Amino acid sequence: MSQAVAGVHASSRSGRRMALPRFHQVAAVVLVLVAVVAIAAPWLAPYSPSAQSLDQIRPPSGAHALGTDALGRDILSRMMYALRTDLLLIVPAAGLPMVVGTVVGTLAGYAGGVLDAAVRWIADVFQGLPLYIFLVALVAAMGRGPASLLVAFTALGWIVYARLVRTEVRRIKTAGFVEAAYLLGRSSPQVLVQHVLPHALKQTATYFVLDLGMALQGVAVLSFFNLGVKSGTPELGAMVADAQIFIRSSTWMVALPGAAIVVLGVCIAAVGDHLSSRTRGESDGR
Amino acid sequence: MEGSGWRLLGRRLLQVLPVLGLLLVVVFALQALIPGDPARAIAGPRATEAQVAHVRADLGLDETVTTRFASYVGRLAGGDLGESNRSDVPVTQIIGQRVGVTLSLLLGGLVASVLLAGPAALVLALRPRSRAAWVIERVLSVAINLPSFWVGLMLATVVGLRAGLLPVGGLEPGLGGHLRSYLLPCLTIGISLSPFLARSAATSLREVVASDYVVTARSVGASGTFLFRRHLLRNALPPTVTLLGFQAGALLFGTVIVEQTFALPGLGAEMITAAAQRDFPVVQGLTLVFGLGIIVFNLLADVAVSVLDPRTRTA
Amino acid sequence: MAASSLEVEGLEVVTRAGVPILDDLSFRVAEGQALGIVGESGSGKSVALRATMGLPPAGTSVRAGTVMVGDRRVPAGSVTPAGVAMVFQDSFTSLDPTMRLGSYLAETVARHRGATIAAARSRARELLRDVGMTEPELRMRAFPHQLSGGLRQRAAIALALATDPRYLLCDEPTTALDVTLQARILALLKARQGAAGLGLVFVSHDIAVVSQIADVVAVMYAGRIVEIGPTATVIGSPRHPYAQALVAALPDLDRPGTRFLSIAGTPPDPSEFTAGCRFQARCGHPGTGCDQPLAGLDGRDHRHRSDCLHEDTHPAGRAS
Repeated sequence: MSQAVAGVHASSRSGRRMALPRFHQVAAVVLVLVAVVAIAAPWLAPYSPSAQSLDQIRPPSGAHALGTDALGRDILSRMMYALRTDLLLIVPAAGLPMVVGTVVGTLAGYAGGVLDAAVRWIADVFQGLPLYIFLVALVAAMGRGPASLLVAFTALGWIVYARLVRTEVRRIKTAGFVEAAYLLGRSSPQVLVQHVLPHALKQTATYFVLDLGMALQGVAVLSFFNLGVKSGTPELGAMVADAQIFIRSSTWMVALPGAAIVVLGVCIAAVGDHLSSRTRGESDGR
Repeated sequence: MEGSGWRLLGRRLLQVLPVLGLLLVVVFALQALIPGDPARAIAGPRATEAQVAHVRADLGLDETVTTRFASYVGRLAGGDLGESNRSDVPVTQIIGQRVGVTLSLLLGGLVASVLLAGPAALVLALRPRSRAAWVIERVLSVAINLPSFWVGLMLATVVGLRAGLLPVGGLEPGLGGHLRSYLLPCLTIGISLSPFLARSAATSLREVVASDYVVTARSVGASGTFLFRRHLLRNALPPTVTLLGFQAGALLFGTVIVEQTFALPGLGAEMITAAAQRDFPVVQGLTLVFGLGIIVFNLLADVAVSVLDPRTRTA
Repeated sequence: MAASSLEVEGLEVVTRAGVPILDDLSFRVAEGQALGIVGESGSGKSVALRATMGLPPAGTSVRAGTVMVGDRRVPAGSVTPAGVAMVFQDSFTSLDPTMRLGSYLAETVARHRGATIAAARSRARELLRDVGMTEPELRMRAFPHQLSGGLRQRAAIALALATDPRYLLCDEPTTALDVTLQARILALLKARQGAAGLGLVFVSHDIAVVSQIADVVAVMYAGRIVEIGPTATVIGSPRHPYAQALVAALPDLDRPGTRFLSIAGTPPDPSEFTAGCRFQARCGHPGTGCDQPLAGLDGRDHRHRSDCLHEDTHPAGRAS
């Protein structure tokens, strides 16, 4: 309650001052713009991302705003398509683990017993194991490509969500309003869907946003290692890898896609941190 | 170490067993993920039909899963991690040749992280309202999102290629050359790990600074570096080391990234090459070694905490 | 002729937002004397001690006031005036968990006396014996978590005594302990007061505990001293309605079962402090003029007084 009151004070104060927009708001706007560019890349991009030309490794110019790469492809167009590739990968790479983890976590937390113990055990044990190395090993076993990436991210990522949701479900299950719902004669699945899940989902949604950043780093580094997307696919990490042999003469070719990863990462983290401080505030106030 | 210290170590080793078990299962199960014929994948593209048949017999693909797992663990126990399907060199030999580079990077990366994170944590915890703390907070929130392969390349360009100050690829000969070759890679690991470390160290230090026992210590006249050394540091270190243990995976993967970026002949670069070329025995063996590495790292962190914090020793 | 004393004048402590928790608090204790301060939590009694040490609680700062130790003037807010030490409420959280008792004591002794390590260690053993610990040699090697609650509180007192104080500020030093241990610690403090001529400031929410040790009692409410006087007089004939309620809550051995349980309502938050009587909202018999600004009593004067305007009109002694 006091949290909510404090929040009202803070926002009314900044409203009166008409202060500069907060950082997380700027970050959200940037993310929306990135999403728009990614979706509209086929219409916005000046060139096809795979169209080669004899203008190879040219610095930024009027014809090519960000220059051209070793095969004479337009870097701006490739970056636009790369954003598309990355967004299309990281949303499911963070989303699938969330779905799987939430289902498992809900069942475990609600049913308790062996399932719950198993989820807890796996979550504990996996904490002591190198997930990124497993990621590489899984992709190595399955062969590179988006499908392998998604399977690998899901296989390793569900655990965090399952633990999170399980804890939350157990906490809410014993909360007063859920017991009240039982007393009113609701059935278990009804209570689960109407009362328990919405609360648990608030936390997972926050975590999902932060996880997007992790997925971005993961996809980029695997592609940099030539273990992510198939070669030739425009992707930010792969673009860094393709350009690295020219780094001395044409640093911008490495700098640009890397900087794009940083900007995306910072914006995702800013929005995620803001959401998590808000959900923390709410659960503290409860 | 006193008797209780050994008992603690024994207890920790027991706790490690399930982790070890799961690691073996995961590494073993990697085989099952190989699409198509695992025997062919393991034997490699150069293998003749006879070799593939031999591998198939070795794997015992007709046997039950448990028998196969048992014989896999048996081979591991005998020190047999298989052979590379590119070079036929035993995986153990590859590890032996390359583990030194990776261990050096681990140590150097850890030192770089502490050197970068320490001062930042001190400012964040002791002068939280200062301008410096504000700047550090901003720098950390960017640094935490830096992909280290890219940081490595940019450092290599600016410090190595442009200024010509340091080598940027491979190991230069001699001790001095080695040290110079490790400098940028370790700095890269430091940059990627220090944000976590700085934040967690600052959090523990802040808690200690606000604690009752520090008020007591100040009330009996402890101040300045004495207060810092005897009371603040000794209490803030154990939780920081525990959190560092949680970062072991990130630290290890950091060595993989810089080995690849700076062309250093370590385990990580080998793993990436093997993965890209589908040299499955090497990938499997190195995954196991990295897993064991994490387990050992966590054990060391636990032991360090118990040495630093008397409460965990006789609790 | 008057013994040397610790005098605190015009102490003002504010929160970060500038809200005063203490405004203009003064008190005095002479060597060999025990001043008790009683009040509910939030009355500012602990803050007063912490501010006197120059270690105000987190989020607050000392804005004004002077501390005189004998004839030495300590500016407000400077840390730990020499000759004054403090014993904290909870010895579990107030002793450094990573320090062996012996090293902690010896280092403190060495710092204050400039003694050698050997001399400091032997002084540390002596201190442990002084606070009634058997087997001091064994205790020297112990970490705080290895000691029982009673021993820990003794260790905390020994630590405070290691600075050779003339005055000892005790912040609810017995609250965390059971009744038997409480009595032992009180006896120990009283013995140090007698033997070493220590001046004690003893803060507690429990007037029964304070009455066992204090020569003079000050009753604090909402950041002010509302009644002060020799212990026997204040307990025997409290004048302020708040003090009356506290005294009435004491168990009465003559009339068992007539215990007055509590005062309705809660003390005001510092942000709601008014210039007038701060107790009027909970007072059983507020009268005219209760809104008039009050100064609060000067605790350097130990004669029996209260700052209730209507102290003569409501019945003295035990309210029924």
